[in-house]
Amino acid sequence: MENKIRNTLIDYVHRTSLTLEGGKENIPLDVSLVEAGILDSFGIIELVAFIEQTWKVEITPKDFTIERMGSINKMAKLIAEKVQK
Amino acid sequence: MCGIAGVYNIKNHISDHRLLEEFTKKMLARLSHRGPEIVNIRTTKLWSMGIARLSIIDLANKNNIFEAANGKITFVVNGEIFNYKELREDLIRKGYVFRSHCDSEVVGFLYEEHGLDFINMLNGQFGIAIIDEIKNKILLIRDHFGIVPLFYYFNGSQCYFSSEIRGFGAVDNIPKLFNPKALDQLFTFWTTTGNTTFLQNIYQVRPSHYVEIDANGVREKAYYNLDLSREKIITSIDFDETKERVRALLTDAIKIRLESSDVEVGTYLSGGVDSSIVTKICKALKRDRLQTFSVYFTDPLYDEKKFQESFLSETNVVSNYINISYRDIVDNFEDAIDHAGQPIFRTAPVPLFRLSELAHNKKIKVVLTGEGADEVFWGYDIFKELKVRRFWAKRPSSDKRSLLFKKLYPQFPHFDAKYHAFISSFYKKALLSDDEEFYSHLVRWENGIPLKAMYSDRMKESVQNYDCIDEFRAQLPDNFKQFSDGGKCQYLEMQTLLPGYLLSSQGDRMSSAHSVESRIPYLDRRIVEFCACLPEQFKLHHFVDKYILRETFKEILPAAIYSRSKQAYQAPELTAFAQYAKGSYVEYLMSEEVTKTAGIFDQRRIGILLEKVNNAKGVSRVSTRDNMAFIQALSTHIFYSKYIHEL
Repeated sequence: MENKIRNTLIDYVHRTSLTLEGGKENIPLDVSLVEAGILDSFGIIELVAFIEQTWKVEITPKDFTIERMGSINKMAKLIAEKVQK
Repeated sequence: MCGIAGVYNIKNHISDHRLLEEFTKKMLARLSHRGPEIVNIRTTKLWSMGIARLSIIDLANKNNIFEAANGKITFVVNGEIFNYKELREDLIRKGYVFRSHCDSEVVGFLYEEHGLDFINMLNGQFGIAIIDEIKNKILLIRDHFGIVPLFYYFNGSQCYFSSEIRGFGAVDNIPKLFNPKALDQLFTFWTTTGNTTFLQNIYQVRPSHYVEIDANGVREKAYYNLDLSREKIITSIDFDETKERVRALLTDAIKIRLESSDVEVGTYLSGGVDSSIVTKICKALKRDRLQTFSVYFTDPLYDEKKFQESFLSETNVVSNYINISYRDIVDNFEDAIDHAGQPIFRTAPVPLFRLSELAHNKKIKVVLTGEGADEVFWGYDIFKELKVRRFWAKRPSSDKRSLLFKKLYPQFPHFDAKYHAFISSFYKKALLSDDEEFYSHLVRWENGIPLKAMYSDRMKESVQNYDCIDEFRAQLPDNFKQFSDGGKCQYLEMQTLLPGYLLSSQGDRMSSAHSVESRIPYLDRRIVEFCACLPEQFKLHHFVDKYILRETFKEILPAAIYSRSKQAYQAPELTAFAQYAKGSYVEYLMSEEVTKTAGIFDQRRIGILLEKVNNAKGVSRVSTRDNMAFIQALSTHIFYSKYIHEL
């Protein structure tokens, strides 16, 4: 499941990022997308809206830490946990 | 304000004078909006110059090409010399005989009397072309802060000059090639810098510079440097005395701008502190009626109507306004870019394009605006942001310190406390930067750099060895490191956005599109120089911007305006285009076919942008970066189509 979520997130970033150099293979999985310059600060809000809509989960203020959402892999893990709950 | 243009042959290349005159005539025809009233052209075997005039001072004078040194010096002036009366009196005492009452006429005699030192005697806004047949050269001079434009092209034997780059479109043998470096600057600084334009080999005369062209080539020199160094700050200066000085200086700056006109003068009124002060002072100085011009927006996010109304309710002026809808933005964007003569990063010039039309319809040729105060008195958020980042950088791990951003940008949801971790990571790199020269602007500039992924392969290749930040760094004044923190920030604003966008794309080019001259009292040299000496806390007091200005004029400002914080003047962008792009020129200009022909952007990225436009329908806010990317790409294609090759 986590894999599927990860791929959906990668698709989303590829589809919406103007700043990604090259293709999907260049999307970093273990680095903050903001730090990598792929999303700007507002882009995070759009990404959260996408996550909440796609998986029908709620991202709470507690989730907004680098530990839980600081990379695609971390986000996939968090979303999977929430969905399974 | 006028349009000036001409051509000068060096190395005694004698050409057909009819051809030279034809060039000037055609260039001036393209500048007719700047001066719709009278066209004067003078031509010899070596040169031709002319002026399309908007008559403001000495309406009876019908010839605005002036001479000095017994006809050996010939010159044209676009703009105004506000201190011309005292300069003229002095010249008359020295025996010079004037043939008109125009402010411009002092220029030639001053040059004859003082050589190039005369430029620093001027207080005004000007673009000047002087043909000196004693020294066989042409001189192109631009005002201190870049209010009035002046461009040139030199091919080794002929120099062409024009008030706007559109003038060169009339001359077939001037090549029109897109300049990739200019685009790279736009994507970094939000504007071009230095003498760059979007056409290769066509340059602008930089603010506070002159360009000399003769048989030895082109020489560009600064005649003035604004000194913002720490040691210039007068720490012992008394606050109340400073208030009196600011009051006296601004009142006089407005007075000479009102007096240097034989036609009715109006003001632009935004509802902010700066234009409200200008309008109040104008009203107090003028005995007759005062017309004001304001922009209302149908989208409440941008509208400042309630502040404008609070001002108007207690000031007796004739108020005029236009209401700007999403449709107006989309419908007028192409014309605005055509007049701007360069791609831009925001749509905010569009309402001002329409506003000058309204002023023109109300028979107003001159308006005073509040531009410049945010640079001189530190009104912009970037000054506060700099302060917050410096404070936060002392304890980077502090959560509380980063929360000050929410105070700074209360209107942006992504600065809410819950997003703190991401905001921190966004600012972290710049926070710990040791780039002392560009510390204030790094976040802004680096935010734009990732968008360069939008470039086409060809575009990427043409700028692969070009670093515009390094190039800009090399242009900093020698004593820049001695500037105060805020002084550096001010200087960078005054080298980038002020001349490159606010005074040009959003200023002169939008007002002159409808034959209106804008005058900028806050950029009176005396004010700029006095404020450079003030302690930082007089300008930014805790979180209160333009503190000294607010306190000086507290009693004449409506309470709501006195206490309001800076609202950046902006206009709807993606949200407007989301509504009306379909089936319009936008869809065509962002199509695969056009993107391929222009060859500037990557087709897939432009596709993503179009998708974002469609998704922005009905959305109240979209990402700043997406907004910027879209406006930059669309305006680049419009520019390309108008100035290089019709798409």
